[in-house]
Amino acid sequence: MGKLDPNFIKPFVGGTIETLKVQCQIVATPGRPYAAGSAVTPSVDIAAIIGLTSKAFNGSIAICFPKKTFLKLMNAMLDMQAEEITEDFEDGAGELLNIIFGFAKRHLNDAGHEIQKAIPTVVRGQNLKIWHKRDVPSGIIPFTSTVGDFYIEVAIE
Amino acid sequence: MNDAVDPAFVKPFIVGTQQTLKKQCQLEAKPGLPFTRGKARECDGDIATIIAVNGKSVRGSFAIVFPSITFLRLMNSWLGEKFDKIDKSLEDGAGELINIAFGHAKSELNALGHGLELARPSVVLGAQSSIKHLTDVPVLIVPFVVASIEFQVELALKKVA
Repeated sequence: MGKLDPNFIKPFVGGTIETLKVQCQIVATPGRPYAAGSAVTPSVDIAAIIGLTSKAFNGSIAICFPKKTFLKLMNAMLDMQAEEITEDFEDGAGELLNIIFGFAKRHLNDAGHEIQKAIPTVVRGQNLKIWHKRDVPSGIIPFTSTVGDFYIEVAIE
Repeated sequence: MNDAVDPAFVKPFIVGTQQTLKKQCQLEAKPGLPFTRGKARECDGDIATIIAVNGKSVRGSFAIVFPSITFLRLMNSWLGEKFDKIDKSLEDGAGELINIAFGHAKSELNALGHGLELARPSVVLGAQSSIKHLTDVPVLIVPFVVASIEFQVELALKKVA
């Protein structure tokens, strides 16, 4: 198993912090990244995934939320008091990831990678797990925030 | 405004899925009548695999969604082993299936000059999960029956100018 280049991870971390600050006025703090599977991740109820394609690599990035965190985040972003995840909120998860992706893409493309625009998909379910191929290095970046924990998962080959 | 793709784009994904199951699992999968999301009942999703479609003339996502009973049956036929539940050992199975199906669609569409790029699938596991494709085109659901049980293919494809 190869190692993820930290230079790929940083723009996504930066994008996440920036996006939550601007869109939701929430301060998110990244924890220490670790290889997927090497520690317990919080239970996930909604996740947005985006496929990355570029000349040099393929991969995917996902942002994964427990329901509690996600609802607080969306309520902050949309100034609402919802108690259940609705369809509008699914759009919200994808929109957040889109903004994060756009931020990271700009940075990576400035560094000479030609990452294509991609469309996110949002998955909802109970106790979701995202699987990557075993031979693809994937890293988890845990975040803590004033509205709870969540994480992003980056897998690049 | 109609950005939805031509049915000609959809067919290679359906045929790719069918051929993949036939070759890998020796199972005959029959596609039903495709419908737009919301117009008919969809199957339960316990495991889903998604791949990004990025091409010169089309962009979007392709997903296959399986109830666990269907997925276990397919893995059983493919790997010649009986599985009672979806676990880590089947991790690559779903992704591999969509990879092969996508490969088929890609080579067919690229022969026509659509320039689809190689992409990597993501696999998501979770009881009662549903996928939302973030696109403004209608999501096409293709119900399938294989070994008398169901699964579905989801396609959200948008024309690129």
